[in-house]
Amino acid sequence: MKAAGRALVLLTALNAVLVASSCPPPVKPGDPLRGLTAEELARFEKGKEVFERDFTPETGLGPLFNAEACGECHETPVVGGVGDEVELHVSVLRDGFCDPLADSGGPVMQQHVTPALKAALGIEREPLPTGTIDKPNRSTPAIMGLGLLDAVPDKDILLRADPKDRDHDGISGRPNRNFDGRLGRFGRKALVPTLAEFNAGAFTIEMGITTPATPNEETIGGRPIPAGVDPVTDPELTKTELDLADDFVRFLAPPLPLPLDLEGERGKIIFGSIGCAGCHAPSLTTGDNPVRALRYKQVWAYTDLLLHDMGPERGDICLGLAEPSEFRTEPLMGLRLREQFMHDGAAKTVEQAIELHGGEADGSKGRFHKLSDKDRKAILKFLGSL
Amino acid sequence: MSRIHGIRISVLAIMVAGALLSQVATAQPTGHQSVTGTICRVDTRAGSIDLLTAVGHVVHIKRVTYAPGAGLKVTLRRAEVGMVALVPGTVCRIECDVAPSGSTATGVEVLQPAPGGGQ
Repeated sequence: MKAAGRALVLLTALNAVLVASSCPPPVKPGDPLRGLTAEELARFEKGKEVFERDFTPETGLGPLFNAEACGECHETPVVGGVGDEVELHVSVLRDGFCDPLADSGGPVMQQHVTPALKAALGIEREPLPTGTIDKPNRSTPAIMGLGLLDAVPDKDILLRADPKDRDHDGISGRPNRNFDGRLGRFGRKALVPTLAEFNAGAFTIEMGITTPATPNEETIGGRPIPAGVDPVTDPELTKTELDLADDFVRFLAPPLPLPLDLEGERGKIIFGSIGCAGCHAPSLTTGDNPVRALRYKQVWAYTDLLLHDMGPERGDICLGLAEPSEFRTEPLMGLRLREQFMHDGAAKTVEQAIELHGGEADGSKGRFHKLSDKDRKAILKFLGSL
Repeated sequence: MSRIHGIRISVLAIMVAGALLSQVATAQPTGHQSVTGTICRVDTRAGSIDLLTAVGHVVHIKRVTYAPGAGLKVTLRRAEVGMVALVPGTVCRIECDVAPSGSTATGVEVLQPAPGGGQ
């Protein structure tokens, strides 16, 4: 009997060792998606080098820019994460039409200039278009897991839209459209249809680096760049480099949620029952995709990728079809890694962020207020696990 | 001697013309183009339509001209709707002839009328 007991202990220990050695280590923030091919992994690593590259005026930086490298803002807790930077976007709503002020340098106003541009024009940043104010701010978007969101079929996003609130739940998500009519999903106002465009545009908007997809330098508040200020031949990034950087972002895995205890599990249920999941839809499923790791995957993003009215107090600018108070539901994956919350970084904690919800979220916020301290704590525990 | 001289001049002329033509071809593309975007401005007097296009958050304005009195064909679901349909906020596809002087519209297809019918 004693021998049998010893054998059982030995077998259990052996089993534990075997299980541990056969399980891959858990995905850490900044890791690539599971299931990438060796070639895709190599592209992820090479793309990370482009993503981390510090640009200088000699390699194309500027003449207007917000950052010198992608990794300058996407840095916490690892490369590909988030940052505490905020930047300035502008637009105006005129007679029902949203003008992104493209002929005055909008919608993204750059906050830094190269020494050559400063010498030529004597400016420290892009001048604001007439009639706009030094607001609104936009915080650095989280980008881990965006490859999966890019792979969600349009029809699945549109299925959740309920612009006229026909189900009378007080939530009426509607899609934004790009200027050419395609469904948008990226950016705080969901203007951008694809991740490739979001990434290519970011090189030019944020760093002044032209690419084959965006071959022209931005204007200086609508005026052309003075001669000699930016002598680097356009495009300043090759197609190969752009594609690699795009693959780095596309293949970044969403942060793995932390395991939930009973309190956290209860919080997850309450999160759904008070209506938060009406906009922060727990999961979406990707469609067919040339990359196996992105094909038919369930992504726990907690977003519906639709626009929702957040109330006049949160409203700032329009963009595309999005009205000033409408914002795309922010994905909550990786929430625990963020240092600031909401589109403008106005909240420093998740609780503050909940308080800043309005409009369509008023009902859920009210129900959150009515919860016991214990239940509220449970929701925060759940959110803190994401 | 004069024949050789003539051949030299001809060769030189062909080379110069070839070089000039290739420069024209690279610097001033011509042909046909289709541009899809949202109208942000229409100047019916000057005959120009400004279209918003974007890659990510890089937003540009593409100006397309037309002859104001020439009757530009504007359609919506194959039905002719006229210039009145072209207001800020309208999503449309413009077929253009591209010349060194710019792009000239040959036809416009409205893909999505402006929200609220425009102003």
